[in-house]
Amino acid sequence: MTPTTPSALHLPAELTIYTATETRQAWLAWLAAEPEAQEGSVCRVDGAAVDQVDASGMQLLAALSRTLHEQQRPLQLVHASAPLLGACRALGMTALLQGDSLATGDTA
Amino acid sequence: MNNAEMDTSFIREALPAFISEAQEQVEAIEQLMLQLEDAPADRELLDALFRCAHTVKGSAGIFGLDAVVAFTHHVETLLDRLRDGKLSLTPALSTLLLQCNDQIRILVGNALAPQDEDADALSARAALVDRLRLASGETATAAPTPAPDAHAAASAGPAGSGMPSWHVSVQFGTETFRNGMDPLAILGYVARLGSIPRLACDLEAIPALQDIDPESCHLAFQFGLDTPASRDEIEAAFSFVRDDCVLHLIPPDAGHTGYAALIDALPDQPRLGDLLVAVGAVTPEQLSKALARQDADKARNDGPARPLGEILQADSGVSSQVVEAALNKQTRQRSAAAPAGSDDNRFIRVQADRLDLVINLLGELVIAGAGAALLARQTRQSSLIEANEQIGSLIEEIRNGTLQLRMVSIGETFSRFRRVVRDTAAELGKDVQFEVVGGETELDKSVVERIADPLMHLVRNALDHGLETATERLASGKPGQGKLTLSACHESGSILIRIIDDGRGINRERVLARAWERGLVEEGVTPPDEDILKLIFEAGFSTAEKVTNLSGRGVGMDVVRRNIEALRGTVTVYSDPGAGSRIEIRLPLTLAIIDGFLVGVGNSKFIFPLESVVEVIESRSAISTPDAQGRSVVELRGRVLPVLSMRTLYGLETDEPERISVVVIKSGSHSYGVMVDVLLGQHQTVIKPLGRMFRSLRGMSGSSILGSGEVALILDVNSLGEFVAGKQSAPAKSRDAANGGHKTLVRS
Repeated sequence: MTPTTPSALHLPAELTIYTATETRQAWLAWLAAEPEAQEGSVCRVDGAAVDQVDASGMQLLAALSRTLHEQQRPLQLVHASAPLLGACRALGMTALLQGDSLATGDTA
Repeated sequence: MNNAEMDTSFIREALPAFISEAQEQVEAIEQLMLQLEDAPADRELLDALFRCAHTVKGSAGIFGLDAVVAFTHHVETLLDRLRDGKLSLTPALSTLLLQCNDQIRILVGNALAPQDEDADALSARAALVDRLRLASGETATAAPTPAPDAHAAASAGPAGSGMPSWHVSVQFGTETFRNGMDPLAILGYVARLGSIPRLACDLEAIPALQDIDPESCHLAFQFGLDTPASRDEIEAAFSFVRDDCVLHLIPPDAGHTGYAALIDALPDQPRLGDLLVAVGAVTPEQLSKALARQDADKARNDGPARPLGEILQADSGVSSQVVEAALNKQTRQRSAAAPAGSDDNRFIRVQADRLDLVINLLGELVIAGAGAALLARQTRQSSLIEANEQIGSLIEEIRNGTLQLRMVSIGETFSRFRRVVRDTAAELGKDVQFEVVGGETELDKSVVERIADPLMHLVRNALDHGLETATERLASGKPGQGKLTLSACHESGSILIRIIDDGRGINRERVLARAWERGLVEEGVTPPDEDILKLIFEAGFSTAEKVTNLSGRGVGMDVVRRNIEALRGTVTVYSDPGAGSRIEIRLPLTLAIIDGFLVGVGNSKFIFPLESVVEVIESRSAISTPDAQGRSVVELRGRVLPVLSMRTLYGLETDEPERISVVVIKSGSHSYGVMVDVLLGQHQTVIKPLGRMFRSLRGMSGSSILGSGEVALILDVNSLGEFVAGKQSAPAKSRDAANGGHKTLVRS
C-alpha cells in the first residue's frame, strides 16, 4: 500500500468493501506524499497484485482516477491481474486501462 | 436455514427439467454445428449456436453446476470469436467444437448423479480446454476462471445476435455495499441471461477520492442486454437490490419513446444523454439537436425546459404509426417469449404416462361408444341413433387429436444420424454425403424411440459395408463421394423408411457361401435371389471379412429384424451389385388405435386396417383350385389376383354361404384378395395386444373388442401378403393357434 517508488501506486491484493476504508486512507496518504507531478504526466497504477475485487473496490479506483484527473494526471492501470481486468470489463471501466479514465461522460 | 432447505428442494425438483432442457440444447448445438459446416458464413446459425451454449451455461450456473459453467464458458469464448469474425470455422475447429459438445453432454449427464471423475476424464477435459483456449487465441493474462462475461463498450460489436435487445438503466442505492450486495456479481448474473454487447458506467457520478465515502455505492450503469429472457426474468436478476436501486428496462423495439421516457424518469442524471450515446442507444446528432432545442426553448419561454426525452422523441422523426407498429411488435415478441422463455416454439411438457392413461381411457371410450351405438340401432329410435352418431363422430375427432399428441416427426431421429455419419465416415476414411428426405413425416413417439437403434445399426452398416472408399469408387467409375439417403414417407397406413446407399451392393455369392458355411441353407442349394438377400437377417450372420468396431458389435441384423417385427413392422432389402442397396422398413403409424374394416367369416370377425383396403369385389369363381392353405387366384380386370380363403386358412368349421366377397388388399407394391362372408363396414379399432401364447402368430397383429363384446382379430396385411405370394409358409402351429386362440378369446 505504501508506494515503493514515488510515482507508481501498487494496488493491494484485496480491493473490496472489507478493505475500502483503509485502502482509501492509504491512497490519500500516497497522494499527499506524492510531490506535485507535472501536469499531464501519466500516473501509473500497478494492478498485478490484485486477486480479490468487487464493485466497491472498482468504485474506489474510479474515485482515485477522478481525483488524479482533476490534477490533470490521467490514471493508467498497468499489469492488471486477471480478476481486475475482468472487473474493469464487467463494469464498463476499461477506460482506466487506457489512461483516459473519464472518456465517458467527459463532455457533458 | 429454511432458505437453504428451500433451495435444496427447489434444485432437486427442477434439476431433471434442467437436464432434459440442457440435453435438448446440446442436441441443438450438434445440429447447428453440422449445419454450420455446410454454411460456415451463416451468421444466424452462429448466433443460434452461441445462444444454445449460453443457455446451457446460464442455467447450469443457477444449479451450481460449476464444471458445466467453467467448461461451457471456454466454448462460448471460442464461439464469440467466431461471431466477431476474428476466427473462421475450419473443419478442425468444428471437430473440436463437436468434441466439446460431447463433453458438455457428459457433464450435464453427470449432474443428475454426481460422481467423482477419474483422472482420465479430468485430463481429457483439461486438454479440450487448452485446445479451446489456444483456438480462441487467449493469452495467459486472460482470466483462468469464468469472469463475468460482460463485454466492455470497447469490445462491443454491433448488436446482431438475433436476440431481443433490451436497454437496462440501473442506479444502485447508496446502501448497496453496506447491505452486502456486490453490483459486480449482479451484473455478472445479468450477463448470463444473454449477452451484454455495450455497457457504460456513469463515472462522473463517483465522487473524487477525498470526498467519497468508500462504503456508499455511487454506481450507475447503462447497458444493452441481448436476451430471450422476459422482463420478469431480467428484473429477477436485480431482486436482491430491487428495493434500493432505480431500475429501468426499455424493451426491444421500444424506439426513441422508451429512451425518452427513461430520460424523463431520471432528471437527476444530467449525463444520461451522453451515456445513452455511449452505449449506442441514441446517436450524437439526435442528442445535440435535442440539447440545442432544449436551450432554445428555455431562452424563449423563460419557463421550465421541456423534458429532454420529449424533445428527443419529437425530433427523432418517428411517426406515431411507427411507434404503434413497434409497440405491437414488442407485444407479440413478449407474448411469444414469455411462456417458454427461450424456445421459439411453444411446448408444454407432459409426462408420457399421463398421455398413455388418456389414450387407454380413450380406447375404452371408443369401445363403449361403439356398444352404445349398437344398442341405439337396435332400439330403432332415430333420434337416439342420431345422438349416438354425433357422439361417435366426436369420439373420432378426440381420438385423432389425442393420437396426434403422441406423434413426433422422425426428422429429429434422422438428424441424430448426421453426426454418426460424419464421424463414422471420417473414421473409415470415406467421403459421404448424407441426405434426409421426409424428415417431417410423423409417427408415434413410442415407435420412433424403438426404431432409433435398429436404424442406427443399418446406417452404420451401410457406411461400413455398403459404401466404398473414394479410391475404390473412382476405380469403379463412380463419383468419389458416396451418397447415403435416409427417407421417410407415409404409405397406406404405415410409414416407410428407406436407407439407400450407392455403394457396392450386397454380394450374393458371398452371402450364399456364408449361409452354406453357417448351415443356414443346405450346402449346394441356391435359393431365389431375393431369398438370398433375406439371409442377412438370419441369426448369426455376418458378411464382413473382418469384424470392425463399427458395425460388428455383436448386434446382428437378426436383432434389427426382430426389433422391427416387434413393432409390427417389416424389413426388406434390395440390392443391385455394384450400384448400391436399399433397405425398406415398414412400420405402423401408431400402436394404439387404427381405422379398421370389419368383416365376418362364419361366426368369426376380422379387421383389416382400413388404409390397406383398396376395394371389395363380388366373389367370382376362382380360376384355380385352392391349395390346402386356401390360396388360389381370381381374375380382376384382366389381371390375376391371388386370393386367400380365411375359412380354409384358419380352418373355420362353418358352411360356406352362397355369396362371398373378396376384399382387395394393398400391401406394399402388390395386391391380393381375401375371401370373406360378410362386410360389416368401418370400425374404430382399439388394438389390444395378443396374449403371450399368440405372439408368434403370423398374419395376426392384435385383437380388438367390438361394441357387442365380441373379439375380432386384426389381420397383419403385410405378412398375409407374403404368405399369399407364397414367400412364406404358414406353419401348422400357427393355424391351430389361430383357430384355438380365436375360440379362447371369444369365450373370455
